[in-house]
Order: sequence, then C-alpha cells, then structure tokens
Amino acid sequence: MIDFERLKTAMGELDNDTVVALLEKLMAEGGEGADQALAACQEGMNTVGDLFESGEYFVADLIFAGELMTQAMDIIKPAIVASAGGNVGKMLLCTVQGDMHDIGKNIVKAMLEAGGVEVVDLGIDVAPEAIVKAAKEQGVKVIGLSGVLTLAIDSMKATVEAFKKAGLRDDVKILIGGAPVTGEYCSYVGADAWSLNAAKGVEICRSWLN
Amino acid sequence: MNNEELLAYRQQIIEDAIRMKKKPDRTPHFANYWTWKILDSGYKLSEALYDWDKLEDSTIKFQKKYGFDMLVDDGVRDPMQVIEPIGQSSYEVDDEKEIMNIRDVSFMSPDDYDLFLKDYPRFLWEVVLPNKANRFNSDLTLEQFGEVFNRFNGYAKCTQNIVSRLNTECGTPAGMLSTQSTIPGYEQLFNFYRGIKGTASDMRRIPDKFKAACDLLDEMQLYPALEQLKTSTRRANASVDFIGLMLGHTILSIKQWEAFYWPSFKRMLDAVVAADKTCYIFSEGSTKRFWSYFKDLPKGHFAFHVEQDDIFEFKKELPNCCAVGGMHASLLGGGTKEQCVSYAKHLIDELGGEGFILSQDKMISYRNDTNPENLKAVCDFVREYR
Repeated sequence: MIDFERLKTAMGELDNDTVVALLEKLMAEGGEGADQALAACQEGMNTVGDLFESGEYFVADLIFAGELMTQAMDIIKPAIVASAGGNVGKMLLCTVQGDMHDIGKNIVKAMLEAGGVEVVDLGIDVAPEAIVKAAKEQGVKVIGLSGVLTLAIDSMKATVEAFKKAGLRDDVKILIGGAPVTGEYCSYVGADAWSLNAAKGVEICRSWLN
Repeated sequence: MNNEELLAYRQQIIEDAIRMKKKPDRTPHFANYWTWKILDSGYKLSEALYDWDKLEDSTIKFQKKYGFDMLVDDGVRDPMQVIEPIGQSSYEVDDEKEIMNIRDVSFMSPDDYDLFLKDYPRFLWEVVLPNKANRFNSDLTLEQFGEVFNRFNGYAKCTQNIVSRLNTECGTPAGMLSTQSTIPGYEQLFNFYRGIKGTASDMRRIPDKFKAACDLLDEMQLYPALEQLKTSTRRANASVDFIGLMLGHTILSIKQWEAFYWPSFKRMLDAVVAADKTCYIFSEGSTKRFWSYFKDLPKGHFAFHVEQDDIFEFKKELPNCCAVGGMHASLLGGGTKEQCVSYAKHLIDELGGEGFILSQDKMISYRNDTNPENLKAVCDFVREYR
C-alpha cells in the first residue's frame, strides 16, 4: 500500500515524478486503495487551490495541476470502484460561441472535478441553444460560461437570453468567467456571478451546488 | 497644422507624456484597435486579411476617421496569408460571425529542446517549419515555397505603405510594427514555440532545459538588440525609441517570474535607461503582481499599457511610469456618447498632464467592442480638451 499522505503532499507540490511513481506502484500492486489515492489527489488539488489563493501559485501552476490530475486519473481509473470525496452535484461548463479558448475552462473543470463536482463539458464555441438544450437534458442547475475574447461577452448575454426565452432563467444559476469579464459586463450579460480566477469560480459553483 | 507639423506635434506630446518633465499640450490618445478597424471600414475580415491593398486601406480609413495620436497596431499584425502556400495552422477566420481566433499551438515537443539547444537553425528547419506550416514536406514544390517570399514582399511593402501614409497623409507617428522592438526569450517560447499549455508544463517538468532555451534566445536576439540600442537613434517617424511586449507574464507565479522572466526583462529595462531612451511596454492582462519590480525605474522612460488593472491605482503605485489606457471597452461598446466623453474627461482631469496617455483597456477586435459614434465623440473631445 502506498503512502497516501505523501501522495497528497506531492500533488499539492505538483511533484509530477512522485505522483506518477506512487500511483504506478499502487496499480502494479493490484490497484487496491485506488479510491483512497483519488481522495488524496483531490485533497492535494485543494492545496493547489489554497496556494493559488495565497498568491504562491498562479495560472501556469493551475494548468499544470489540471494536466497532472488528468494523468493521475488515467493511471488509476481502471481500479476505481466508487467516486471518492463524495459527489457535490452536477454542472455544465463550456466556452461560449465564437471563442475557441479552452485553457481557463479546463482549469476550472479540473478543479471542480477534484472537488467532487460532476462536470458536463460541452467544449468550445458552443451556441446558446446547445447550452440550453444540454441543461434541459442533463437537468443541471448551475452553468459556467467561459471566454477569453471580448466578443464572448455578447455570446454570454445571448446564452442568458436563450435561457430566458426557454423559460428556464429562474431555474439556473449562471457564472461567467475569463479575461474580459468584469462586474459591468456581468450586469450587461445578466449573469448571477462573475470571476476572473478559477479558484473563486469553483468556490461560487460549489456554494450554489451545496 | 499641415501633416508634417501634426506629426511633429503628436511626437512631442507623446514624448512629453512619457518623459514627465513638462505637461504635454494635451493628453495623447493611443488606438488599441486591431481587427475592429477592418470591420469598421466596411470590409469582411478575410477580404482585408488576404488583400494587402484592402488592409492598408482599412488602416488609413480608420485613422482619417478618428485621428488618434498613435496606432498601437499599424494594421498588419496577422500576416496569415504569407505562409498560406505552405500551410498555416494557427488562425481561424469566420466572416459570418466576424471572428478571428488564434489557436494556442505548440510547434515543438518537449523532446525537441535538445536539438533547439544544440543546433538552433536545424531545429527551426526540421522541427518548427514542418509543424507550423503543415504543407512543408517533401511534396512541396519550389514554386509554392517561392510564393511565400513573394507574399512576404507584399507584406513588407504593405507595412511600408501604411507607415508612410500614416505619416504623410495623417500626420501620425509609427506604431508597434515600425518601431524598434524585441522581446525576451521567455516571451518567444511562450508566443512562438510552446504556447500557453506547453510553457506551463515545461516550467514544471523540464525547468532546466526551458531556462536554457530562454537564455539561448536572449543571447542570440535580445542582448544584441539591446547593444544596438546604445548607439541607435529614434526612427524619424516614430514617437518612442523602443516598444516592448509583456504578454506571457499573465500565467506566471512570482517564483516563475523571477526564474524565467525578470532577469532578462530587467536587462531590457536597464538598457533603455542606460541609453536614455523612451519605451512603451504593451502589457496585456494584469501586471499588478509585478508593480513592485518597477517601483525603482527612473522617471521619464517607460509607458505601460494598463488593461485589467485600475489605472488610478497604477498611477498611485507607480508615479515614475506613464500609464496608457483607462477607457473601458465596456463603455465604448455599451455606453452612450455622453457617458464615454464624460469618462474620458474624468480620466484626463484626474490623470492628465505628464505621465498619462489615454487608450482602451482591451485589444479592440470585434464589432461590439466599440460603437463607432462613441469612439468618434471621444476622439474629437480628446483632441480639443486642454
């Protein structure tokens, strides 16, 4: 059995070699304790979030953390029997129509999943109608809209309008995030909240889901 | 004023704003306008981006209509058509949605650093070109390859024409593409080789190789350019001596900034001061986390573009530097003429005088980023307001 505390610390420190070595050892030994390993990785990701909040880590670290978490999941996935850390709930996430950027969205996704949120990722350049349709089909109440270009603001507004038109606006909470987003734009879009950084965005989504 | 006098006047007010020794006659106004210029002049994006004459026309039309004191983008930032004959894989243009996207692409893998460090020209030829230009392979004909050079000539001529016409027809100094400029090795790796994801990964997985590549690029390109700065004179049509870019800082932690960015960036800033030059730093996103590094810069050399940060706070924290920005895209796009002019007045009243250049807080690229009537009203106001 591997040292889960060491795994948690290594994930928090973004120590790629140690994380991979520990998880490969666990799998080589039959995969027993994979759920605990996943929980340790998720706790390590919480540390990453805390270090981001304190200013020690920044965006490049979050990008790498997402990559490392994905790598970790790929290694232990075959041995996972139950979701560790509990399922907080399900939400929908995408980059809005006209915008092809996915880095910010992927960081948020990795951090949400590490926090026990099931994320339905619709990808990039997603039309308002497709978002509304997916929200209906998946029964989600929390929507995260990401964008980097200033034109994303209009797509976000169009998405909010599409929810209104479908009679669903009061049933969902909508968060907008990304480089161009400001408080003024949030009012213009008609979203419920906005965030410039992933950690705050995750915190808002988790509070809504809870 | 004739155009020659207007050019000299604009150069002088920009010089005064950055040098901070005397109040400029009025607040200078920089255009942070990019593909919006094409749309505003009535062209589709692809029409102008694939036709040098139309690209030139859209830039000149824009400047004749609004009358800025300098165009940060002279109009030819995205010469995607140059390498089209051998394939390009970064740009996507959608005329229907009026969108141009530039994908985050890596043109090398982590394994390629060894060749990068050992034989840089061979690395460019064998790794970067085939990855960047997806038709650069054994099927490529000499004619196709030659077409790249024909188009590059067209690009160079277009740049020359724009700068010349901005000077002679509009009395406007040169912007980013025609002022002496260079960037640190980190910025090159971030922007031209590894992209955002690759850079983030390399700094963690192979920091020594990544740093060695930054250093090699600095030795080959940044430091020789800084040496030249000692003896060079400002280009006759320019308003600053040097333009620097600060783009890739947006993903760095302080520790990474100190390891990969600051040493060579500081050397660049020091070279500007030593040569007693003026420098406009086109800085994207937020720079606030790094302001403490700029506190000791001597007054009168640097103008920083302020995008996401509060420009009033910037001026308070860095009174030694000129601030460029202040005008919110959200206001230009969604406000009224009166609101826009009133906010421009507020900015000039509070920050005007030496050490402030009005500009937009985003790279204005899409139609709804700005209502043309709002922009015209602000430009007219700024030119008249003393």
